Amino acid sequence: MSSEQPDTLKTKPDESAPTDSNASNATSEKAEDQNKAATSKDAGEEKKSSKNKHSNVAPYNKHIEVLINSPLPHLDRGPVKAYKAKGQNNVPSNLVAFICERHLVPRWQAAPHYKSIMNANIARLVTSGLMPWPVDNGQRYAFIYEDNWSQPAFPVTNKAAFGMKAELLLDEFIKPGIAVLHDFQEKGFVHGGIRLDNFFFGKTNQLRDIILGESLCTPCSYMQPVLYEPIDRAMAAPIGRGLGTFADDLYSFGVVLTVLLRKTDPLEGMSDEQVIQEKIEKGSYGALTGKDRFTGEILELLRGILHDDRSARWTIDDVLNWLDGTRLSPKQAIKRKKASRALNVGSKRFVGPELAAFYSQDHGSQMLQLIEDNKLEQWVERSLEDKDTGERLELAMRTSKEFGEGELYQNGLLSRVSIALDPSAPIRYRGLKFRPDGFGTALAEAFVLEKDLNPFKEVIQQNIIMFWLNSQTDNFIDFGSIATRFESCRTFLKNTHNGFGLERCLYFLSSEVPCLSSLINNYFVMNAEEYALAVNDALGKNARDKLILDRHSIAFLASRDSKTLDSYLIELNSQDKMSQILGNLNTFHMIQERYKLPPLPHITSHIVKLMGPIVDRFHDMKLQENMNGFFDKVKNTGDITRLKSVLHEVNIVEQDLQAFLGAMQNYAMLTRDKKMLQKKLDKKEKLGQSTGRNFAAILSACVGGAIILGVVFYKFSHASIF
Amino acid sequence: MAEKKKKKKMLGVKGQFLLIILVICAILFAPTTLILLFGMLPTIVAAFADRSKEAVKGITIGSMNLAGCIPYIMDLWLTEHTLENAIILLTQLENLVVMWMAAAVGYFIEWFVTGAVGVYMVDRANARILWIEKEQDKLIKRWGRKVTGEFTLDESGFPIDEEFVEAQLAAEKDKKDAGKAAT
Repeated sequence: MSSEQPDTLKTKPDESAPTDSNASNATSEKAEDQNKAATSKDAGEEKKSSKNKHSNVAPYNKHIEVLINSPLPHLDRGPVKAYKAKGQNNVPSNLVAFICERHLVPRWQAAPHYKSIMNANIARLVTSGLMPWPVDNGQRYAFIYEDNWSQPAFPVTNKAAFGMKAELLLDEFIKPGIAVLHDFQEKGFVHGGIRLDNFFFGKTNQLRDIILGESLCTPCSYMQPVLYEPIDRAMAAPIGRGLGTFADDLYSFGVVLTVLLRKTDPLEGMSDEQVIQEKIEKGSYGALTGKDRFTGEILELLRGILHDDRSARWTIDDVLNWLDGTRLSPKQAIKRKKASRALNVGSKRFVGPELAAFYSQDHGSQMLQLIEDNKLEQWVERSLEDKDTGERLELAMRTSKEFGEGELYQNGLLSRVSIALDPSAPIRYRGLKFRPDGFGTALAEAFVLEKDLNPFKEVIQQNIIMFWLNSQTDNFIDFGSIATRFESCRTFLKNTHNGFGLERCLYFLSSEVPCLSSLINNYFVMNAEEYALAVNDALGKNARDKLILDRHSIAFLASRDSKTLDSYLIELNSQDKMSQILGNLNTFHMIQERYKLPPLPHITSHIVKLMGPIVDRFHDMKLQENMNGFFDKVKNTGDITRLKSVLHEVNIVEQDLQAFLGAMQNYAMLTRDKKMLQKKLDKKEKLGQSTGRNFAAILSACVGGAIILGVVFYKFSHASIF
Repeated sequence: MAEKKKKKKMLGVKGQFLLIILVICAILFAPTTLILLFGMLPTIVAAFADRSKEAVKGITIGSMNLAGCIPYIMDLWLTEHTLENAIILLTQLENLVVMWMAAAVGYFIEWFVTGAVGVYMVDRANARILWIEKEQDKLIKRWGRKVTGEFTLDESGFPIDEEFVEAQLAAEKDKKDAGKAAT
């Protein structure tokens, strides 16, 4: 921690409504407070921050404090750490806070749904939202739960088999568990974290009081071991599993149930790949139960909810009917096609296309050789005798040629072939394994961890997702929505300007991803309002010479608040520095106006700083002087509207240039005049002679005329002159 | 050329007609013509001697000279308009002096006014030059030395070799400082 507490720490988010979990409300109030603190800088707040620094307490709001020096490692969710938190007033005193990591997009949009579920067997979410995080002087998204989870209900050992009685589990575990899942379904919430180590004892150590732990602080199913995920999701990388379904939650529950019931663990000591291979070869039920034999009612349930075909898998209603006593015949496992002759890929031998697809990326070169030699096609036709797979394979080879050559073609071909062999599997491309709805979270992780982004670009450019969609037979997939979204992404990628590209795809595909701009990398910003406040705060802490709106910021605002940004995209993409600054200024002005934000002094100060070299380039020194004087007055006020009033002219530089050229002409004209006069003065004695003579003639004529008239008049009046 | 010159010198029909009328008038008003011929002699000389572009000396001197002759012509007209009378008037020396002195006044007017206007014009030119210099200084102060057009500018209006310009300006400043120190 630095000696100076961040402004955000001086704020008390969600003060008026301590238990309100509405993320957006909480964050906006917090942001407002944050800015007030940023501008006021009163000593009292500083004292408070100083106190926080020494006590290692991060205030979430007026009623909740997170104790940074009291971590709860047994509740950690991988990189997401859990801390003890304290509540006061109407908030429960014992709390646990999960502090989210930036690369693992938290499911903050699902929080209100989760909070609305009233069930004693789930962890109770007290509130969620942004909070200052003094460890890195930034902000974090936090989920704060009531700490009524005493200890893990099932000790995790190498052997995942408990041999519990079905009769005991039926009343004590299955019924409450199914009630929880039913509640989830009613509220439209997918948990994505149902696994053995996520169950905790509640108020007693009885199974009926068991509590299902949290799952919101990481992407859906990110923490799930492959054992608890259906085959198609298990094959995807944890970060790319995408949004789950109720059927997936039910499957996970089925796995937990099986582990509790079985006496032996047939998968003991196996790697993730081996577990998936077992599930593919034997079916989930067969792989999980091994030599254990279940009979009667429980067999029906397990076969039903562990079915590998999502459309054939039992639904919650089926399970409820089963609990009510309706008996169904046990579901039979999927019969996967097996080839009469094995396909040799490197050292591996495959009799089914699913496993060939599963290992295709690991044996890329051998697989490509098989494809080029037509051996794969022959194997599908002759040994596997699967017409549909054959057609998909042929299409994969044909369409791959349309996209690129060389390595790009090979990568695309390999990916398409793996889809053709196993359409239900996730998309595999150069080490990426993801389902289309998990692309956004995987991309966010790659951006934050600075991984290679080219595979993501290529997946979109090569239209592999469209091929995957066309190969699907699963009716649960929202074909239209996915196709439209990725088609838009292809358009974004074609445009390399700010506000487009892969960054735009990121924010377009995942509405929960915070802004990943480097300027605010310690902040968790989810809308334009929070963005402006965070930028103001960040600029107050660290000076910066660059423009504020970078590629990420522009793409983020273009996706989340297009009305704010669309009008200024041309300016922001201009090559002219002045236009770029005006684009920045106009964008923040729009945000400040639209969201009625308080003054943003660090932003105005930064823009003024950026304007410095531009003002020096003005020809008009009076204009320079006026502008510098005005900037000195305005820069610390945070009033962007006032700043904009001077810089509203996009062509101010052009106007200055035109005025300068006019002044040059004027100077040249004056020089000409001066030379002419000097030339006349060189013959001083002649100067004015002509005019003088004319003037003398007129004067003489007038005087002479007057005398003549006088004389005539005098003579006619009989007077004599002499 | 000779023909052209002849043609130029030859009067037109109107001119010839006027000349005839004038000759007739001169004969008819011979006494008046005689006084004017002698009284206006300085004007005639000045008009022929005037080599200036404007050729207005005749008017300047003639106006005053005529004013000097008019009293004697009026005397002639109001008494007896005869040649004898005209000769009597011309033979009185003081009459001729008055007529010619009037012409001298015309000369004086021409000399004085021309000189005064010349001085005024020189002063005005000097004042204008001072004003121009002030205006140019103002322009330099507002737009910098580049407004003088002494430097080659780029399309944005800035000297192409800025370092050179700066060096030149520094040298100028040093020169001025040295001058001040010397004074």
